[in-house]
Amino acid sequence: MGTLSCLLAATASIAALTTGCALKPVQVTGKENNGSQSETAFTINRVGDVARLTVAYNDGTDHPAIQYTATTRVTKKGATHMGWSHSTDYGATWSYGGRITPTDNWPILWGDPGITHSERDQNFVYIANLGIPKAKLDAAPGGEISGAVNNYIGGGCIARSNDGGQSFALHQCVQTTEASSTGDFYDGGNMASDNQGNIYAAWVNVDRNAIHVWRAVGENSSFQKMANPFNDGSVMVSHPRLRVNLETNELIVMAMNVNGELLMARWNGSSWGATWHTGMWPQSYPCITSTGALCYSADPIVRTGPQFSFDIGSFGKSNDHIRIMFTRLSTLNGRLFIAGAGCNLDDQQCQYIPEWGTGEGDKDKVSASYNPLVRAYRSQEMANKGEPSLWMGSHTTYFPGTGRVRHAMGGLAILKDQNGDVLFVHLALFQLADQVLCADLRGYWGDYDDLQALGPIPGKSNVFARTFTDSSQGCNYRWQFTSSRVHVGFTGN
Amino acid sequence: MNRLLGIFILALLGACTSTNQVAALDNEPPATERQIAERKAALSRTRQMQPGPAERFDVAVIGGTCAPKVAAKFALTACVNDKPCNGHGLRLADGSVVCACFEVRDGCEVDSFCHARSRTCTKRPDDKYHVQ
Repeated sequence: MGTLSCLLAATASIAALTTGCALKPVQVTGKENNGSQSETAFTINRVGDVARLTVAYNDGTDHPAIQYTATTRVTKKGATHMGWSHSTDYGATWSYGGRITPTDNWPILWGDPGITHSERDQNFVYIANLGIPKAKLDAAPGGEISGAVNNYIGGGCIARSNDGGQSFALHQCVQTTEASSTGDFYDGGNMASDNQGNIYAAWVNVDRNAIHVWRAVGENSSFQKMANPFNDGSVMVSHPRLRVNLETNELIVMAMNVNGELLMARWNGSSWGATWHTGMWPQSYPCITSTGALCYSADPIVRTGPQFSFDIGSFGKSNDHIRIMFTRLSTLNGRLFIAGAGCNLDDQQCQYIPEWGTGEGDKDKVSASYNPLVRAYRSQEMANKGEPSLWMGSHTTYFPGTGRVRHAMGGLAILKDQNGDVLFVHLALFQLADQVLCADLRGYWGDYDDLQALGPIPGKSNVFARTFTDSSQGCNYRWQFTSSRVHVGFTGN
Repeated sequence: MNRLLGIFILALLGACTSTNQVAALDNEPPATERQIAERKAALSRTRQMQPGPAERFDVAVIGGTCAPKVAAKFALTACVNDKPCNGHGLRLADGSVVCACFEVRDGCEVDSFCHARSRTCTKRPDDKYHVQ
């Protein structure tokens, strides 16, 4: 049997063995008051013998400062979407943490959660959301916002926990006034930290088409804005994503420019390197119609941002590398599909690796895949043996025939055949199938799903888990600003 | 090769034992020069993505003194060849720069704006899709 045949046979055998690897969903939220909870980001921190998962999300459960009338949504002082839940049994059960309280100067806390914990002192956990400053809310007719809040968002707010994620309080709100004297429009937050106590938060400044990264030098410090990471004049339009190489404490920022290319910026602790052009070009924030076809604004059954994910892993000491997953559009069938890429950190070369994705499909394909996620994991034991990182990818696929979606998780491998030729392999290992879709009329439903490596847990090792928006209780309502039922779900292998 | 695949899958399926997530890898045996070369070669830029016409653009001009004012978030406007452009300057293959909104030549109509994220002309004032 030839090498490729061996590979295919082995893959088929494994696929057969793992067809039954259906993921078990766990309900994170849903017992609270009426309303929706969606857009998730989570982290796992370890303090002593306690490992705690903290998931942040848009908490839209009933709140007196957010009122839905017959025709619009009215948002008032005191409104907050900054909610969280936590678990100390690796996600088997969850406790609702509540919502973080706004302040007089920042009277409304909005969505787009980012989360991280300090790698140095894991008692400290941080959540970043969008914020509406008093100066902007005061300018609203009657001091309240009717409809969309885009014109009133004027920065980002960061909440902090010093007890490992059990409780949070607002730590600091940040803003720039480059385009608006009352605060530029920030969107799409993300966070990361390193082993030296540096905490990073980033947003896209929509008004300036720039990525703004803020850093706290130490868990108790205030966040200060860093220099522009993309210092070659790049016009940045997407949400940023942050990851830290924990072997070197180097921060890497990824975002998409107006040309459509994914760019990276590297912070070595004292300065930003030259902008790294990856040569990868995702689709930009498209939506999917009920037929699976692409749309940009009309009749979305679901919207699909963010359109990329990346992480930093290792082949071995000093040979770190990056893997990217991103969304593309097939010219053959007009459907979204997932592709991958791998990049050497030392020479900044990226290779296109479609094998890690879903494949484009044939001309008759009608399903659409979106929300790519990728994470690396490497234990001490693996490092001691010189073994490379394990990689897990995840994405969601919409099936027009059923109107439902499937969350899939699979390994991303680089193998060598007997001739020494490199083979790139995606192994579909786990799935959460037949999930009810329940986006609001904007298409919002789970575009902040998250994937993380939990590492070893009792009785298992190398566990990867993901959070998602859960509508398994049924979809009975879709409206411009909300839908029902929408809560937070968790699953893992 | 099959053995490698098996190890990889078993590891992902959680059949191995492990300890804690690590950062510094002091105990790690150093890789040989050959290993390093092989690993680097695996991700060298031998296969480049060929983006489609709806994926890659060469946006040459945004803003400028005659760029029209559009009070919409995510709107792109430009001053292209000294003329207001409801979109951006797009560099063509021959090097010339024309007004466009990504795939829409001449930019957007007056009742719409060029959306930086969706890369399409979007009706004003509504942008129901990207509102928070």
